[in-house]
Amino acid sequence: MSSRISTKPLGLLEMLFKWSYKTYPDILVFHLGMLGELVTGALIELSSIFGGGWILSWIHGGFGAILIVGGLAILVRYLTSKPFRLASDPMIIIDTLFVAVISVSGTFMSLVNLGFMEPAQNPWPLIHVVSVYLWFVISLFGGGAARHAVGLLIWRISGKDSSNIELARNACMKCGECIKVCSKVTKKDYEETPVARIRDLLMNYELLFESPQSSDVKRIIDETIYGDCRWCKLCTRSCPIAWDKPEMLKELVESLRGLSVNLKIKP
Amino acid sequence: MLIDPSKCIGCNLCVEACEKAHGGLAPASYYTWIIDLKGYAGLSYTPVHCLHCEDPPCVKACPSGAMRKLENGAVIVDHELCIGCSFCISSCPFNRIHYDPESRLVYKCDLCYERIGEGKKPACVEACPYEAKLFGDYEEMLKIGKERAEKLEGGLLVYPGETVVLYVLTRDQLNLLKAEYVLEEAYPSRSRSLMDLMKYSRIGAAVLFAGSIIYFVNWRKKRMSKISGGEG
Repeated sequence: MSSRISTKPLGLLEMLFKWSYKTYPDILVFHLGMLGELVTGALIELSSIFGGGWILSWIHGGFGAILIVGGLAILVRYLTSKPFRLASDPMIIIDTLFVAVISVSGTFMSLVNLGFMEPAQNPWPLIHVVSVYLWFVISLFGGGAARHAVGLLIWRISGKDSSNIELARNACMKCGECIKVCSKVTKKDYEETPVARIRDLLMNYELLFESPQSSDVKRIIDETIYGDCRWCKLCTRSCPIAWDKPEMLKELVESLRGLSVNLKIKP
Repeated sequence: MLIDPSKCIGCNLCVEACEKAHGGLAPASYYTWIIDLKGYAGLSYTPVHCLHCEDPPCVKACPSGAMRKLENGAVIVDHELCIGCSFCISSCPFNRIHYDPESRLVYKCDLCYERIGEGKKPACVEACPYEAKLFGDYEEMLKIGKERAEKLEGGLLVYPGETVVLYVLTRDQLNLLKAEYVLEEAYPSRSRSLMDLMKYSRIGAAVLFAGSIIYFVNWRKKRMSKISGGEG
């Protein structure tokens, strides 16, 4: 097989500290908060065994504040940046809703503990705990943030197996950098860029197997990898996980043709 | 323990005894307090503290295992383990647990479990000169409580079998205490089921999470062998 990766994907820490610091610092703030919350939250749940819950619960609250600051910054960027919106899928809305509910209930609990609110019978701890676990399960099965985390880990550990579409789809950060850079090169609108359309098809790659003959699929393939795409690979080079989208779609189409699925497309 | 509010005259001796018994760790008002009822429904005052539920929601809510139900019936906070998260306060249907902003821990009535262990009565019971509080075997307390309730017009015993601490009240007095947010009509088991939901969401999510990761790893293994088998 030909080598698909023109640049090496970044390491996880490099990705978190270097890439996100340089491009989108809000991602760094949010993920530091989130990682801190996950670790301290798990340790609090285990504090009946290991102890240290008192100080952990205050650190948990501190990370929560960091997470909320980063999350709000990302929300503002989501609302103002079109490539970011194009690259994300509906699961980001469910993830955001869950994080909002968890943050709000956590904030109320912190206000009680800091003495700004009278401690009384209230639903906040119940909402906090139940929605956290519900979110884990929903985002793992539904392809949200938890699936992204697991996918990214496996993408790195398994030696950048970039032929695995499912893995790439999960590891993708949905940042929209590829769409941004492609728009500059091809001078097209964000939605019309080849990489946005290729990415759409790869994100819903089931379509290729279920209905390869549909005119939509054929048109996208014709107009992107056999059309507008200049194979400059700037999308891969700008991608933090170095996902070579045009190459992946091309190989997929060719392997499908090899399996005698007649796609009837221009060579 | 049996509480007969109609005998309480609000002398505060029980609160003072509580203050002494708990060594000034925290104000006694975090353990027990007296409510002034101003003579409505024939009640001047009533002592109030934790009812020591048989199946306490606060124990289910506690993430650190600090809240415990002892064999003698007392529900206590272990301050070594308490993380001050106030989950128990949010779960208590009667608002009997207090958060101390100084030490950032929670405090509640511990039924003087150390004194009970030594064969003594709780400090507040010992201090009460009017028999407004009685302490003894649960069966015995139920019997005395029923006798006292029969003497009152429309008298009833509040939450027998649900809580260790029992109140002897008339219907009007119960309605009065309900309006004061001291007691409820029947034992509020909803807080119990809500805390069960919280407890089992942890276990359920852990099982689902582990299961889905195993599924994902297996699925990947199968897929990889399929791919390599196809090429070879």
